[in-house]
Amino acid sequence: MLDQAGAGAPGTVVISAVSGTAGVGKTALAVHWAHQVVDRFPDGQLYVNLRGYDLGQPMPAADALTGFLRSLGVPGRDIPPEEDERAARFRSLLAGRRMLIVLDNAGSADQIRPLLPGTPACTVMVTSRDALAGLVARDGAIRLDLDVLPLEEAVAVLRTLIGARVDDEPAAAAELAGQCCRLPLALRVAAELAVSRPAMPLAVLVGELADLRTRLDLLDAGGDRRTEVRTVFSWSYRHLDADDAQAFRLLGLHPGPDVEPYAAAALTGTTAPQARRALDVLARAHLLSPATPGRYGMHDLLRGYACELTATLDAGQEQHAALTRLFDYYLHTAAAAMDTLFPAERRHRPPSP
Amino acid sequence: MDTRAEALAWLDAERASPAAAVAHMTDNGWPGHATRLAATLRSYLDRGDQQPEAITTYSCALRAARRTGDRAAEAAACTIWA
Repeated sequence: MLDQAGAGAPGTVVISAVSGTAGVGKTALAVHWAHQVVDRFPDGQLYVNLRGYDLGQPMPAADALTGFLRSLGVPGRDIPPEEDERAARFRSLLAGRRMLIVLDNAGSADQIRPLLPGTPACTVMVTSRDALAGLVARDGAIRLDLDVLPLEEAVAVLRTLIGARVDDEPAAAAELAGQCCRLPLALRVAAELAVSRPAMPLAVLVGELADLRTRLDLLDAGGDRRTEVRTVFSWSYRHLDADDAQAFRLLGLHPGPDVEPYAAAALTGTTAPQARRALDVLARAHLLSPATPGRYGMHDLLRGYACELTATLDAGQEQHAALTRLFDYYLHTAAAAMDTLFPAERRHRPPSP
Repeated sequence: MDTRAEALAWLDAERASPAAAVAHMTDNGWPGHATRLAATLRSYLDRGDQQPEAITTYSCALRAARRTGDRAAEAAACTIWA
């Protein structure tokens, strides 16, 4: 289906919608495909993470348009204040260009409609947990529903990540893939735990995970895929030392899309080197994912898990204190940057916390 | 944050974050931080090129100032619209 994109009926914008459950690999597929077809779009690609399922605010279309207009070379002072004016400017700039526009993690058809170009030479790829029925019906989007991996492919993912142990214990590997619901996100987390304990047979790991599942089931009678995936996350979480575990929980509170070591240090009440080490540990466990160099993001399934943990394990006061430290850091750093840039105004600025 | 280049790099890298942070501060119990951050960033936001972020930041700061009854901050946030 993806290969049909870019070769749609003349006069219409081709929209491909990749839908599927959280952690199934929609973004990875979209990014992979975008790399493959880079030559088909000589005027380039635009990407935005709309954060439609984030616990924080989904990105308003107006902000996504600001980013696109900047990428297309419009100076900030020329970006119109209203969403519909920005959308009109965006559409007129795209006229005559061949571009690929990737709208990642869209929450709803309404969030993306202002971001659709009017130019048939452009192709839009949307990823969403939602089926985006409105986009299919009204805008003629072609939909690809991404399901969890077939068992053999899930085992193949484990083989790639873990290695020969998967072939030594095929039954245990298949069971482990099932325990991960054949979801790539959970498979990566589980595989990393197996890799970190090279001497342990996979069957033992599978047994450990099954025991944990039974214990968690007593707490959560859901018994669905959510519980299964939670079990894998909590298995990984339980192998963290106390400081890294707390860092993981508190990072769930961070309101932005990604975090760097200084902000993480403020949030967790540690030093920047300690925070950098914790971010590394969490990224290695696949509980965080590297974004741009030096910055780390958290998949929203994991963020949801981290927030649940912090709500249970950290007192409300501690959570409030962590965010206050983060916001103090922002104020302090912003003031330092402003003092360097505008030293004469120093005394007019509010005092730093 | 010793050089102008470093200071600008931090502000530009975080350009969207302070706007998001001010919104979060306003709506989740840190309105005083919201008005202070907006006031701190004023000359940076007022350079013109930051117009879209400035609009978001000042409209949040205005809401925060009204919530805390901080008339000076309210007045400061209002002048952007003048």
